[in-house]
Amino acid sequence: MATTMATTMIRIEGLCASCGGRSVLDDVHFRLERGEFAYLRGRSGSGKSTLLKLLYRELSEFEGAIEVAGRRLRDIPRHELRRMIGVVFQSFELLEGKTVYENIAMAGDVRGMPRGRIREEAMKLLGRVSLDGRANDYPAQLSGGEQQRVAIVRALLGKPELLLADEPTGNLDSETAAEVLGLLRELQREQGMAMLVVTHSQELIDRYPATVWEMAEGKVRRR
Amino acid sequence: MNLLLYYAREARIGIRRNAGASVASAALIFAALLLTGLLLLLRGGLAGVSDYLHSQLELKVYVERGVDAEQAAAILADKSYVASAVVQTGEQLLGQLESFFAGKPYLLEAFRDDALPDAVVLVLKESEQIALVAQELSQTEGIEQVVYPQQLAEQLVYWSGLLQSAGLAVLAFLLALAFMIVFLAIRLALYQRSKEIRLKLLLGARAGHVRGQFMLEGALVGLAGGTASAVLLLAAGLAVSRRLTAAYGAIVQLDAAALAVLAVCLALAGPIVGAAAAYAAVRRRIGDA
Repeated sequence: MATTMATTMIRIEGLCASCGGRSVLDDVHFRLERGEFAYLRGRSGSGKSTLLKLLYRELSEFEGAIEVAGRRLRDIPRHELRRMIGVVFQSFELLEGKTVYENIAMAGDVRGMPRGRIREEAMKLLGRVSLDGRANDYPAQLSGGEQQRVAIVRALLGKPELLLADEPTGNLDSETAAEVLGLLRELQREQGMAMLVVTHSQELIDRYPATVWEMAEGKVRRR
Repeated sequence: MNLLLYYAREARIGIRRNAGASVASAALIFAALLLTGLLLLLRGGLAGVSDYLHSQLELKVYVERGVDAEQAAAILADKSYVASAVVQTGEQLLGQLESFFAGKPYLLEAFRDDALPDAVVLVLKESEQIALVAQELSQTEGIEQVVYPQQLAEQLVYWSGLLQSAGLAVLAFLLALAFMIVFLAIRLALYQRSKEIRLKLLLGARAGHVRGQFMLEGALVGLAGGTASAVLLLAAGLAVSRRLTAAYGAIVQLDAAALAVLAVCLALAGPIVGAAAAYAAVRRRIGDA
């Protein structure tokens, strides 16, 4: 058990969840090790996003067992859980009225990180995703791919142990999508964090192969 | 400390974004608290006047026409509770009124047509007896009317009570209105910034901290209104106090220290009202999960 706690990032056993009276997840068993990169693939409405929302506690009604970093999900205070997890969304979720830097800094500010450290980490990460020099731009001045890179930097600020990406390339053309996924893969390796990417693109999976969990009719199976 | 500074910055930005609603909220809090301060000052002033009137020992007894005022004064002077009894004739009273109605002779003519009655001015030994003495004298044959300062004090207390009740109703209305405006301003801000709030929570902000940011916004708006009312009340109170003390020092005295305490209370009440309204607006909207 001690070994499990040390090496497993996410452990799900017998997870059931419903949405509006309809069963969305049915007896789901899932495992993601620390430092592992994996895909969660499935059709629209198959329950992928519900599973992710349960993991970062956007949804909280479920039956079964979910453990994150060896702790029962329900025992982890919501804010603490979200500081362990970085989340990247399909729609980027950047604030239009804030600059690139301000959008990124928000992740450090809400955790009480010193301003100097926030600036240092943000600039380093912006350089890493080739956006140095764009810190004072507004999201509307960036392309879709650039906006998603900003969202990735925001998710990585504070060095999360786990990164969840909910269709991060869904709003991008195929070339930019491959570029963004390649970047995610590199950052995952560099930072040694666990990463679960929700996608329905077989092309991207073929390009960056990793463990694939297939989701269909509320059930998950490892492919 | 970093968190406090961050949320203080965010609260300032929030107020700037909702400038119109913030100014309206601050103005209403200002009006409500200023009215509170004025009512308290007025109450203090009237209490001073009332105390002064209650301490007066003098009463005036008007005798019926045909009754000899000098004889009445002699009889009254023999009473055990009377310190002195002096006659004031109708002509003497008219003479006093001439100076009072200076420049308005037509008003004085009304008194000339119907000659004023003679009166006996009594000074009692103790002020507590004045109402009983007045009642006894007014039932005595040959006495038309008894007038004494405590009657005015009773009237003052009566009108002061009415004014206070009406003032309290207006005050309650203004405070409720200020509370509602702050509440609605914060609700509007919650709606406008729902994406930002959701993101902050997703990035690991504590719900209490995000609620605190909005309560800080409400408190800052309240502080602006409260401070403005405190400054105005202090300035006006000191100015009026100087004049009153110079003219009626023995009757009305506004204590500068009490005025300062009242101003501080008003300045503190503003943020409390603002923060309470903001808390009511956010407590169910930004929940702990």
